[in-house]
Amino acid sequence: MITKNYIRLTVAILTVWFVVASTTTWLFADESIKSDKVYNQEKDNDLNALDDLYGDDEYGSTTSYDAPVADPLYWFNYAIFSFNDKLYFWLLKPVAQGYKFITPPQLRNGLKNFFHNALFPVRFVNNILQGKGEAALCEAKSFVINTVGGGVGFATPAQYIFKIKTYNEDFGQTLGNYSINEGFYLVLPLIGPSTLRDSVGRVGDFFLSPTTYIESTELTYAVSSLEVVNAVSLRIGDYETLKDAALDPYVAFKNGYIQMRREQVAK
Amino acid sequence: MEKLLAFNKVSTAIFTILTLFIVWLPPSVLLSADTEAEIVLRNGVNSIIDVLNDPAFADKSHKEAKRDISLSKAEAFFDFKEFSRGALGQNWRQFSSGQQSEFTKYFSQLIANTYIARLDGESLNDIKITYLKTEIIDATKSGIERAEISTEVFHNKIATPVHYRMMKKKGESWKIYDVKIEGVSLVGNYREQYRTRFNDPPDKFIQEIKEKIAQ
Repeated sequence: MITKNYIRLTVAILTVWFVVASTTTWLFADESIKSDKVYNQEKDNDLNALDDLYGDDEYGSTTSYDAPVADPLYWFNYAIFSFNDKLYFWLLKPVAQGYKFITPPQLRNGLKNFFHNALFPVRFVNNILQGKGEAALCEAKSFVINTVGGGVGFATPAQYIFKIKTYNEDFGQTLGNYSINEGFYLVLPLIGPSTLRDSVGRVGDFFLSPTTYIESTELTYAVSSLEVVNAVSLRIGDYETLKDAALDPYVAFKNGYIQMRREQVAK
Repeated sequence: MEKLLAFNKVSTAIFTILTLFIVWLPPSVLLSADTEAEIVLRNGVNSIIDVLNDPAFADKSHKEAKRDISLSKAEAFFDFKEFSRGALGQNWRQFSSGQQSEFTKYFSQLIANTYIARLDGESLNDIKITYLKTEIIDATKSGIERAEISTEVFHNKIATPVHYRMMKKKGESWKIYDVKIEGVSLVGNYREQYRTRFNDPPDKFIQEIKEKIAQ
C-alpha cells in the first residue's frame, strides 16, 4: 500500500516537473537558435568551413551537439554525479572485479542474455507503442526461440542461428518518438545520467519488468544487484576510459548521454 | 603460321599497353567514391590493429613507442586538425596557426592515449569489424566530398556500433574527421566541453591537454 502511494506521488511530481521543464527548455532552445543565427552571420572563413563540415546533421540547421538540454538542477546533479563516481570506484568496481574473478565468462555472458530476455515485455510493448510492428514481431520471435531453445534465455539461438535482430526500445524513447523533448537533465543515484523524460520512462518500464513482480523484496534486491554487477563485470574499464578522455567529465557524460539517446530516438 | 605469330605479337602488345594503362591510372578513376573511402578506412584500421597486436610492443616499456607508431599510422587517414577545429568550435579562431598545430599535436596524443590504454592488455585477435554500409553525404559548399561509413565492432562478446565520418578535400585522400561510437560523436562531445569557455586564452587549453597526457 505504502509503495503504491509512493509510486503515485513520484509520478505526480515528475509530471508537474515535466510541464515546467518543457517550457523552460523551449525558452532555452529559442535563445540558442537566435544566438546561432548571429554566429552564422559572422563572416569567418574558418568557422564557415567548420559549419560546413559538421553543420548539416539530421537535426536541421542547428547541429545535434548545439541544441543543449537545460540543467536547472546543476548542483544537485553534480553532487549525485560525484556520489555515483565514488560508488563506482569504491564499491561497484571492486565487487564486479571479485565477481569476475570467480565467475566464468560463459556464465556471465549467459546471465547477461538471461536478463536481456527477461526484459522482453519492455521492448515488445514499446515497439508496439511506436508503431514498429515488424520490430515487435522480431522481439516476440526472439523471446520464444531463446526461452525455449536457449534455456530460458541463457543462450541466444535466435541471434546466432536465425539472425533475428533485437530492438532495444524503452518508454523514454517512446515518449521521444511522440515528440516529447527531454525536459531537463537529471542524474539519478545509482543509475546515472538521465533526463526528466527518460526518468518518467523508467517509471513506465518499471511496471513491465519482471523483477517488479517478484514477491519477496529481498529477492528483488538480490536479482537487481546481480544484474548490475554482472553487467558491470562485462564492461570494466569503459567508464574509466570515458572519464580519462574527458576534460570536464560532468559535461562529457551529460553530452554523451544526450547524444546517445537522441540517436536511439531517431532510429 | 607466320600470320598467326604476327597476330600473337599484336595481341601481346595490346595486352601489355592495356595493363600498363590500368596500372598507371590513379585508383580514383577505377573506383567509385564510396568504395574508395571504405578501402582507405579498412586498410587504415587494419594497419593500427596490426601495430597494437605486434608482439614486439607487448611489453609495458614500449608503451610510448606503441602509441607514437600507431599515431603515425592513424595520421594517414585521420585529419586531426579537423578534429581539433571541430572540438574547439568558436575558440579555434583565437588560436594562432602555431597554437593550432600545437593543440592538434597534443589533442591527437590524448585521443590515442585513451583508446590505446583501453585496449592495452586485451587481445585484439578476436576483434571482428563488420562494414555495414557506406553512404555518400552531400559535399559541403566549399566542395569537400563526404561519406559516412557504418561499422560494427564485435569484441569481448559485445557489439558496438562505430560510425566514421570521412571527407575528401580536393587533391587529397579520404580522411576521417569524426567518429561516432554508439551514436556519440567524439568531436561533438569535446565541443560541448569547450563550448562555454570562450574567455580562456589558447595557452590554457594547450596546457590543460599537456597535463592530461602526463597523468
